Amino acid sequence: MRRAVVSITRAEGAVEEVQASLDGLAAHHAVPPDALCDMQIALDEALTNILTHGFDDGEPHRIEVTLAIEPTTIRAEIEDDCAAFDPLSAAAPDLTASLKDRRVGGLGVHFMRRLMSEVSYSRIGPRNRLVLRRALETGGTEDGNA
Amino acid sequence: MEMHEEQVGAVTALAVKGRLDSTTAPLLGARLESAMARPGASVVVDFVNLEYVSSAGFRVLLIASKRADESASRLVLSGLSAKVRHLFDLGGFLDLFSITASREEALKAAS
Repeated sequence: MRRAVVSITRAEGAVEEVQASLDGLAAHHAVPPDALCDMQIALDEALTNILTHGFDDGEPHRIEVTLAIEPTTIRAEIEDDCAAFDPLSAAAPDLTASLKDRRVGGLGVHFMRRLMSEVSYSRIGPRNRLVLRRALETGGTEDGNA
Repeated sequence: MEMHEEQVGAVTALAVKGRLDSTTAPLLGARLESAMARPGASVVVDFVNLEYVSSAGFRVLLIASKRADESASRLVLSGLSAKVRHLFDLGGFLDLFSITASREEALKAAS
């Protein structure tokens, strides 16, 4: 099994369910720990954003997460029916502010961009679609690893 | 995520194992809040067994660090793996927190 689909209709336990599903796939296909780690972080950031900002209007919503292990990458497609929201339009965080002035807003998207090989957003009809891709080889981020 | 806590002299020593993310960060946040409730408290958090930390984890560390600054308390982090250090670096946090290589050094720095 190289693919898994997780449907989410409530915030509680949602991130854990997706993470467990990815852990299961990764174990089956000997995904390098570094790539798995980066994808788990990116999923946490992406899903937390949607559950926090998209699910807060009192309407029923659904997120569908498709996880796939491909020959050279892990890919996650996240589709939701919440209000249009492009996370990639968020302002970059100020990473140099002093402790007193430091904010965490924008950090999640910053991590997503830096840890993934590719992140893309599109609005398709009533749905947001976010695609995350992480190359399987170590150090696959384009910005380079420390 | 598993969390272990012990008192070493006047220092509250926490150890976090596993993943510090949106699911688990509130647990560490609550522990830090109670450990730092007293002004002048000293707290060490050892990350030697930490797999990764997401922005939700950094949020609770940032809140605790600000609180330490305001209440003359000390918060020292230790044991960052190369992966975890890279995440701290990406977030611009290496210079913001007190970080030592080992738990022993952190305990010294906090007392």
